[in-house]
Amino acid sequence: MEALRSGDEDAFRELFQRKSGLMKRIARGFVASDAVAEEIVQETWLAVVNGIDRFESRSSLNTWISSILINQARKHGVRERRSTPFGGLGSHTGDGPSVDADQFEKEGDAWPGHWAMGPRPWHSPERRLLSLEAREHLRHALGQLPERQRQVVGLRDVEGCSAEEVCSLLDLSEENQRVLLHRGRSRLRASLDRYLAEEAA
Amino acid sequence: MTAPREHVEEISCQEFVELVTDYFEGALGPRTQNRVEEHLVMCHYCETYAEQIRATMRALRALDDEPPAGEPSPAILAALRRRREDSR
Repeated sequence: MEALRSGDEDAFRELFQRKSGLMKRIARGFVASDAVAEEIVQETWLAVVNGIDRFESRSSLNTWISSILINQARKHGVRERRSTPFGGLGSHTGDGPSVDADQFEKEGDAWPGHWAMGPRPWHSPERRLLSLEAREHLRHALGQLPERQRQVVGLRDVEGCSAEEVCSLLDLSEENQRVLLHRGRSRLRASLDRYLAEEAA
Repeated sequence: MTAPREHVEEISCQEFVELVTDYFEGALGPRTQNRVEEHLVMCHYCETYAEQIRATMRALRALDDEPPAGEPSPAILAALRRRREDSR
């Protein structure tokens, strides 16, 4: 923080390298092209450097940067007239269940609604999920989520923002925030499940 | 006559997988919360499922260091330079 205030370029570059990829992905949820998303990231950093004196440590640095990012992204979204409209659950509607229905026993079976076979166990997930390949897979899967799920999961689970922060950043009700988080996490679990099964095969 | 049991309505695994986020978020009402907790004690499969969601969250947290999106623009570097000069 002090390093940013005093214009320390090395410290800034480190922060820039660490955060810009995810920022771009969040921005990408608001606008139609990669190039515009990159522009938004650059504008955000410029606003961060110029506005650092206005930053109050009441919010975390992550949250403050995210709020600037989203403001910039919204401005572009309006200009492009191609952003996702806010309000409503957007691409959430029409989503399937978190786990395919055929994994559960059906009406007429002994235990309707209970796991037929159980979820496939994940062996040593901590080690395998941290491999470069698994991280690439997860990054890709996150990028494939419908944009509002991607925004919520990106802010909550990758960035570590609180539910309250995400509701206010994205202008969501608590319930909608939870629905989007649930859909996103469930899809990503399913995606990792397929990845781990293929990797083991 | 047997007294009605208090927890007649068990949740199914299929319901559990849709409640797991609200459960982690502490957003369930007390009755549903109890039923979910009872279910988790009895159901090894759903316990495994819940642990996989947690593992997914941990793996997401580890993505915090995304690859960079290019270089800081000249305007940003100039703004940093102005800060250095001002703070001297």
